[in-house]
Amino acid sequence: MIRMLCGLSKKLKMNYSMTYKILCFISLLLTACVLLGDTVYADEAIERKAPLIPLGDVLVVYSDGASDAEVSAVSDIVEILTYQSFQVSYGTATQAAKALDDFDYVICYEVDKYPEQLLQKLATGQRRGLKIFFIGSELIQDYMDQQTATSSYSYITENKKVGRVTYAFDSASSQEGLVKEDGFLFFTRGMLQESGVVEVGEHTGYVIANNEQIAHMTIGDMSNNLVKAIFAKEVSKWKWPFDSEEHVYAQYIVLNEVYPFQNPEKLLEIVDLLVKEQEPFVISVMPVYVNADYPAMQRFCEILRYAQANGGAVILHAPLNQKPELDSELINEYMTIALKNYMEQKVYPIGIQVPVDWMFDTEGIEVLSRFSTVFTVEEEDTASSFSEDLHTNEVYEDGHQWVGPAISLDNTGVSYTKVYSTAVYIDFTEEADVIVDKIHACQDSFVPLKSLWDVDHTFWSDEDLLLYKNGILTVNSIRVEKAYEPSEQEEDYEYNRNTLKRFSRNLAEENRKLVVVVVVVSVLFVFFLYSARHNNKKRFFYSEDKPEQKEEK
Amino acid sequence: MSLTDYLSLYAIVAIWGLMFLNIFLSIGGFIYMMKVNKTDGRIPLKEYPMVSIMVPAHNEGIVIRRTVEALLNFDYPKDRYEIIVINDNSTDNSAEILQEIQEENPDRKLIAISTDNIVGGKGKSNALNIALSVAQGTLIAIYDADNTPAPNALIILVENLMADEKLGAVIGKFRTRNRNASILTRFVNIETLAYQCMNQAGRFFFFKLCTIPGTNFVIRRSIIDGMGGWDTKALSEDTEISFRIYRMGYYIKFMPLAVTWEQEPQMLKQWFKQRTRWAKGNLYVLIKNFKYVFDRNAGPMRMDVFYYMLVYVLMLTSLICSDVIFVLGVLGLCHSTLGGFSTLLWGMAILLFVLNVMITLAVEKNEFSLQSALLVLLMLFTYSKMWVAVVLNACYLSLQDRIYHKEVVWDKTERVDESLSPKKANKEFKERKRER
Repeated sequence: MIRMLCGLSKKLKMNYSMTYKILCFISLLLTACVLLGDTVYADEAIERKAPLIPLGDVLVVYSDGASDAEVSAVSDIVEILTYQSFQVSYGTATQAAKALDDFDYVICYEVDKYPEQLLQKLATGQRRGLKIFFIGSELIQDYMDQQTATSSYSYITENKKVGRVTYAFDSASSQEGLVKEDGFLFFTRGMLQESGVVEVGEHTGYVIANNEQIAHMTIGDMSNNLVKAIFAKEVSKWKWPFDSEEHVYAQYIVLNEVYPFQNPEKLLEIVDLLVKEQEPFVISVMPVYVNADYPAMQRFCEILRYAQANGGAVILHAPLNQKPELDSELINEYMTIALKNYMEQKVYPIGIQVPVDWMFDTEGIEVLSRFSTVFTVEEEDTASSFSEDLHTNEVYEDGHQWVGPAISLDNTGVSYTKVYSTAVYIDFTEEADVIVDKIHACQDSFVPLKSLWDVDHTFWSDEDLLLYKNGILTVNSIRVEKAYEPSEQEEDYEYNRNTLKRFSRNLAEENRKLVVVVVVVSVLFVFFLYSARHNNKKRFFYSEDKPEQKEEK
Repeated sequence: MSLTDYLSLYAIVAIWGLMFLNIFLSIGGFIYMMKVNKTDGRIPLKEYPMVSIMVPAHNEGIVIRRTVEALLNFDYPKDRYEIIVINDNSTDNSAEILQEIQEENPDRKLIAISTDNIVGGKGKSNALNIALSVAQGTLIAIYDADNTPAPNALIILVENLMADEKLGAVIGKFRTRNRNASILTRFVNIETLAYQCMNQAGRFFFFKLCTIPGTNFVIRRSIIDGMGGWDTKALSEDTEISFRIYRMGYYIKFMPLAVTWEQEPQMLKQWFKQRTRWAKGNLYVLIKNFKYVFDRNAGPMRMDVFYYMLVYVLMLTSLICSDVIFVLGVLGLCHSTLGGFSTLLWGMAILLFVLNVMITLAVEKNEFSLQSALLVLLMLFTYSKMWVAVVLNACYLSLQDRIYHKEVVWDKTERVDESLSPKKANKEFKERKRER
């Protein structure tokens, strides 16, 4: 370019100083173009602003100014739909009205405050084939009134807030329960199918009714497990595109949150029972970061290896978060250590178990992205919660195999739905008899049990990559076997503890001694206090001490 | 074990170690106080020795009249004691006030020595040395210029000192005159009572050890002469002189029935300055006398130096460690994996601390109350943290003095006019400071 300019300047009989001035001018011109160009692009970006609610399989609409309980119910709906592998979008009625044209499936959850535009959009949508799932009574009542439909309904409100629900999850038996609603609306005409029964006083209606495009669930209290389970089943049916039965998902027996220091005999007893009964099961183990070579850990891993080789699978519980916010980098760091510690003992965790809310947290999603199989558990983690601002289940994009907690409808805790994979969590700290009863309940359930080894899995940590595909397990591309071979346990393990370590290990023990000392000292001090007070009273208030009192004054 | 674990373990061991040491001392102190409270503290003498009461005063116009009048009012033979006020390079009206009192009491031996900035103005030790040069007593009594001793304080101190030849000095108790002026003075009141019961009475009960508090004590003139007067480099001349007395083979007795009332700082800045001076002085004495920890001939002093070491090194570092770990833990930046590192541990420590301080208050009149218990609890989270700041500041300043070879400067505690309401007194105090 410079050469070309030099040639041109010669032709035009310009000197070098002039050439460089031209060069500088051109540079300035280019810079200005780039800068101005950027500005233009930025303006365009504002014009072409991304929609507030991203596109998805299903749009969940809830009331403007929804209460915390309503938002919590929406999070339950999004959670269930995520387990069913749907990309979910959600927003308030005002937000959703603007995006509704782009969706084919809409769930309207207890919408009672909404813009007029929403009704119009729903009507327009219905004309183009939009399928609408109404939960609750307000919006559907207004919508049907506006449509001047021929359908008629009865709306029960006065003194009739509690209803008895009867619903059959399988052909053999049905479940009953009480539900509380502000009112119950039942369509008396216009619906093709009805499921379940709600009895409100002398009135009787359906739990869910639908015609070709509209489904209506009259009850919507998602904090009620029965309602939640009904919704899970019905929404799956509603979304199923074929006339046939929906796909059947299994449930997994999970011995939950087992620590290496817990009773190994008890664990072996339960594992033995499951192996004997040839039932598949999962053990959720807690992460171990230090002292992985201690005898307790070795014994624990011995049982896990035995379980692994006999139909049991191991999943790793995520590190317990003690920070106000999730920190994916830190969690991954700890996960790497914990996974390595187990894999060095030939125990191969093939999934991760996390609190439910992690699926709504950006940092949690980041941690999950390393695992194909994710078990969720109802655990309190104040660091993460459902966010209304996300408007979508971002985690969907990572394509996990989800196993959600079974929605428990009785003491056994077994699943009553087979519309997504569920985990029946068994608390390992419970009595062995109780655990055995729960295992038997799972065996008797109409929801099939399945082995985690029947599905492919993969995860990667900062240091390792595990792949389980077509029944072949590889770690860092090296094939590993999960066959069990008994190993020798070191009887005289050398802990290599110095005085300080011994003391710190026994700190809990020292605490007990300290409590005794503190109690003794406290009692002594209380006696001192009493005696000093008594003495003071004698010195300052009793008659024989009056002269002294005067003196002190 | 991580660094946090090691530091946590250190903090736990150090704090609990010191806690048990203090509990041990409190038990001794409590028994001693109860025993003494049953007596009147008097051991009458056939003949009373001549006592020189020395009062170093620098710009003490606000409080000096009250102090001197209290000293003149002692229940001690009037012809057997003299009062020497060293009006040390004052710029206020102290000289006029002292002259007025002299004129009002022509029959009493009240000596007022006014110094200029050439001879005086070099600190309390220097002022005491000046007073010593004119003192005629065989016993020396020292009172700070803001003190109002009880009439029987001097006679109790003297009688106890004369009753035992091995005694080098007898110290009395000091109380807070302005304890209701502010929350700070309430804290100081509790602190002084707890300190005297736990550290002075407790150490005396078990080990015949206690530290001269700087005021309200009598000491044999021969000892002062023997040690060549006061060390002018020491900011804590009281601690310094205590160590010297031990080294000479004497011991010091604590006699809580000889009471003096003194004015304590009622504003934070004033308090911080005073405590920094004390801490600096103690650090100087500690470093100077540290060698005696390893000296078998140092007697009980070894124990005292060791005790000061524990307080200043162990307590300071352990409190810093525990506070830092606590704050970083709350911020989620670190956590301890120690088993049994629980809130129960802290809860028990807090309970013992409160009970420990409460028994030191219970031996006093009108000090034991629910309000006091709440104040003690509050102190734990506020006042004790300020102590850490004071010692750190003192360490920093001492290091600075050492590096830049700075001369020791006596930073006098400013007084407030107690005849005014606390609010007005503070306002007046600030105006006075601004004028200066």
